[in-house]
Amino acid sequence: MTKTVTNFIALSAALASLSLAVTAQAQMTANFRTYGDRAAPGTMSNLYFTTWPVSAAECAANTLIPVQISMAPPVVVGTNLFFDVWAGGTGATLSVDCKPGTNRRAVGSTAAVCTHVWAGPRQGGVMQLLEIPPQSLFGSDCSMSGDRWFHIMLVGATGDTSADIAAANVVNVRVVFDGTAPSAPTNVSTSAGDTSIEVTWTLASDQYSSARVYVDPTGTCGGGSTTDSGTTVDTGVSTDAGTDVDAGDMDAGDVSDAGDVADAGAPSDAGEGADAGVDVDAGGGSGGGGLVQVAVVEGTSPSSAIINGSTIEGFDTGDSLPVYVVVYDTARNVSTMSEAGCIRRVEVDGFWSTYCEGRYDSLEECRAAYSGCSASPGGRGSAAPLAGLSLLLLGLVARRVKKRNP
Amino acid sequence: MNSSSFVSFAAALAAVLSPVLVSPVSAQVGSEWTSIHEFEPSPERFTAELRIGTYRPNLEPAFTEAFGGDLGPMLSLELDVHLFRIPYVGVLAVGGSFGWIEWTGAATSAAADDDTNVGTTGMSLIPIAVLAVLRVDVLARELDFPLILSGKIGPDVGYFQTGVTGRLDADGWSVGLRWAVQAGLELDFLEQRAANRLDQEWGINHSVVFFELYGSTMGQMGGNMLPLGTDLAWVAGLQVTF
Repeated sequence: MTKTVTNFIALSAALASLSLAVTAQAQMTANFRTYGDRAAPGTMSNLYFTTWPVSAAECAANTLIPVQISMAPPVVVGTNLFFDVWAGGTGATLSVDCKPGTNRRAVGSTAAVCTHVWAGPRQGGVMQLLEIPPQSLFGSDCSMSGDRWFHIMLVGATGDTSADIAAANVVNVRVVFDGTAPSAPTNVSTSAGDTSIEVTWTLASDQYSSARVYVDPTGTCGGGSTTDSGTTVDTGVSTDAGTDVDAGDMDAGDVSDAGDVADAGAPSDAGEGADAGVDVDAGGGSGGGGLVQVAVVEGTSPSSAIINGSTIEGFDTGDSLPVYVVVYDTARNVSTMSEAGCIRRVEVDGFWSTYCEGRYDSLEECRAAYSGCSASPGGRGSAAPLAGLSLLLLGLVARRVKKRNP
Repeated sequence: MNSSSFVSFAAALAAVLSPVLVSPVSAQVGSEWTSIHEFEPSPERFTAELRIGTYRPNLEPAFTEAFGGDLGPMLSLELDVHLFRIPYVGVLAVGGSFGWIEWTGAATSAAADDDTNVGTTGMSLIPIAVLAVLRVDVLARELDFPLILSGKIGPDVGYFQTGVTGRLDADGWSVGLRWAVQAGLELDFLEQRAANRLDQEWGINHSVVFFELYGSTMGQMGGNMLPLGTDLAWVAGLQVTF
């Protein structure tokens, strides 16, 4: 009896797990009805994002909106399928039932006429990257703001308009138009250091995606910042000779204006990695120099960065350089340049310097004396403990063998 | 003796012996339904220790200058394999210990004394020891006094790294000898039935809280090794035998 009850419980648990898994799968993917060829095109889901921010500049340039579609079996490579995109609506789901490839609503539907705006063939495989021009979805008025939606459907063989596309069988993408650049960071503060110099700043209110930190290798710190402990914001940089850094000189979203400081070669997308050493003002500055990007901070609240002073060319121990920060919002709008802070490179002593002082002439000599050498696993000094360990292991194995074969 | 006398004697003998002869049988029948099975402990093969304590290597005065009074803590694990039991003494075992500790302090500027915010300096140590262990548990086993005394000795190997924020200054190995004495309080006496149940269900024979004093000569036995050993350190933790 007890065994029967146990088996029943185990079976119930297994069925419950299976049910949960099926439910979760159903929630993750959108199901599609069969059209034309009557072969189920399978299911598809939108990978990576459901909300896509678009800046005014990207809208004006008609920068493609990438949508990565994943299709689950039984999608067959080469099957004549295509994607239909409907735009409009303010909700997360398409509010009407539409006919594939047409602006007609479904038979019997009382909903408004569908707005079919874009179609593209499926090119085979279970992964499909759709790159959709925003102006084809929402027109060329890039001054709009707020949310817009579009809806993607996977449709079967051509010529079949008998079936309708239900609102439930779509992948929905929310587009957020943001034409406002974030405010420039304020209160740029720094610490002195060598391989780790911290820069912190204050953010205004926005939906941030990243921040970038630049130094001016030919600039000098103004005011009294160089004599402070690296924590004073240098507000006198705009008067520095040889630098062309003006707060507000960096156009929001403008990456091709050669007259600006942080333009040519400046990062144009938030996903770009740090490229220390890149001259972001190729000859544009009046002093012949340019800003060097030294750090990229990703995140929704990018308010500090660590700079490795040894990676900045010409930034020697004892030097000071002005540092600037720009921030990007999620629509990749870029702020104006912050006011300057001042980083200072100093020689930093730690435990090792303290320990070696007086024992050796240099840190290198001290390091060479203690690193590895006779105590390393391959060295002579390790022979005794390794031999002991080997004997113990041998003893254990011998005892084990003896127990198995008495 | 006539026949009537014999019958009377036999009846009297039967009457006297009947409780003796019958009652064991009835008691035996009753025990099938009411007796409690005697607890049989599972075999003891291993002892594991979860340890936390402090450690300061023999690197003075530079160590205190850089890290102040930082004591760690040292986190470590130890697993002993029982080799054999010495009657009326305890268990002889061999074990391995693996730990980790890190000390941090404020770095300083070499050029200007007024730079107080130039990052941190740190040092980490991973000590690994192979130990012969004698765990004397005769008091607990034979006298029901829950005290376990242990002694340990074996080679001690440590790997260290030190540097400042963003820069590794040095790393290397040191070798030495570790010793330890340990006193443990066996927790079985608090609730023996719970301890037995733990053994039956999980195979854990005994649970012990312990305090251990130990020392190490890492890096102090010749060769160019950083003296990472310590004269005396302590560690406490939980020990289970299974």
